[in-house]
Amino acid sequence: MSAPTNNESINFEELVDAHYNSLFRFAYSLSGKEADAWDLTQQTFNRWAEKGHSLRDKSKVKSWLFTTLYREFLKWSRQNRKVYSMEDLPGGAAEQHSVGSEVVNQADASALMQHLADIEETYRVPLSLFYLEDMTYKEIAEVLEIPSGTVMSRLSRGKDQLRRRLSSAHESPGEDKRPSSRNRRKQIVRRDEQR
Amino acid sequence: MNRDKAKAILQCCPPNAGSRSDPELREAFEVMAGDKELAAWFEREQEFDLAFSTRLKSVSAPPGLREDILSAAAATVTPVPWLGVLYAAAAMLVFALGLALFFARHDGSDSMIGAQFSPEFPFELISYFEREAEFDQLSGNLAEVRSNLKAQGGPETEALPASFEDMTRYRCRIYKRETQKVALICMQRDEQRMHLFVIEEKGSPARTARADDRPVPRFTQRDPWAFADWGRSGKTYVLATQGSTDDLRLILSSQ
Repeated sequence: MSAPTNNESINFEELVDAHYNSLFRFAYSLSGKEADAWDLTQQTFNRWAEKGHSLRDKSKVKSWLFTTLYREFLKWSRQNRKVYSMEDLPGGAAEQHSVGSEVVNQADASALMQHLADIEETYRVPLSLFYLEDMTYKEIAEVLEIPSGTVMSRLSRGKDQLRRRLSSAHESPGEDKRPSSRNRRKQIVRRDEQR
Repeated sequence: MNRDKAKAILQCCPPNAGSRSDPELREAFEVMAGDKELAAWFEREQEFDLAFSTRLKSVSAPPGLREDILSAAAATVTPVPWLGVLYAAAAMLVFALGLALFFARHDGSDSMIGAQFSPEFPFELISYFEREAEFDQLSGNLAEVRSNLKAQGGPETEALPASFEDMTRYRCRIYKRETQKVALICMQRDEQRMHLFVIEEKGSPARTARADDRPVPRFTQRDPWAFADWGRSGKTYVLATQGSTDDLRLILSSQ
């Protein structure tokens, strides 16, 4: 589906076909879980069905959908709060990690998605748009409604976190020093059940 | 452009980007052309980014999602477009009436606001809400917005509560109305939005002195809007939000 011009009406099914895969990947990279990504993607299209008609500039559809999904994710995130600080990350000091493309090529796609999902939310969101949608920092700034300078610094720090995580996983396969988000939630549930 | 700046921009160059028409990126490429070390770094960076991007994009949406989306949307009641316009118009009318009542109520001799504003003023405020997308600046930093307002010759906003700095998004606009300069700063944190009008009256020492006399905010509830207004250093401040005066009291308590 080509980008519609300003006043062109939009066929919903064509819209879904054009964007549901990329929105799902974006949601998956943010939430780290397929089931949550499913819900977020569906909720985004529901929002479009309810409010999409109010978008005046139809050439901004893609940006609208990604912004809406991001907002839905923020709501979801508040209910499923997952915050990691830099100290939680394996690898210690913030030295430069030179992870090459060969490490990435050897890794499973869903494992890479999980590495991305485990990065701090602030950095994860622009990084996802960068890798999944090939967005420039200016386009990311438009979707997230933040200054482009902020996007640049977040991309830089996000890439650094990502490399540290990949480097650590590559050096010690199967020995991630921090529990995955899913396992951590299980631990929390178990603790709650024991109380 | 220096090397560090070029490197920062190149690092943000997407792996599949056809965006080299971007003037900043073009300039960064020019810097890189004369720097072999930077060029080698960029090649490695792009190789990594391309590999990572390609692997991530191999993930597909699970079967059934598309059908679920289509069936859920079919069950969603789509509002009639003109009904939405009607709702928006009604909401604006309510807001206009609220503001008009607010200003009418405070038009006595003890009120700076009533003395300053004509009945049309609330409608001007609304027109700026309507055109929020045309605001001068979007920022995540209040200091940046204030400095931008100052640079444009807008009313200085030196006496703002510290809690205003905890907001995450700011938009601003300056406009002039007869002898008044008005700065509008819209602030947002999560779902909460606050709109601050800073009005500077020029050439009226008596009014300026009276504005100085009202440092304690006055609160008014006109559902769905709540207002607080106060005067300081020759300026009148009006803070508005869709909520209750308690929301305003909370945010102003750090003043």
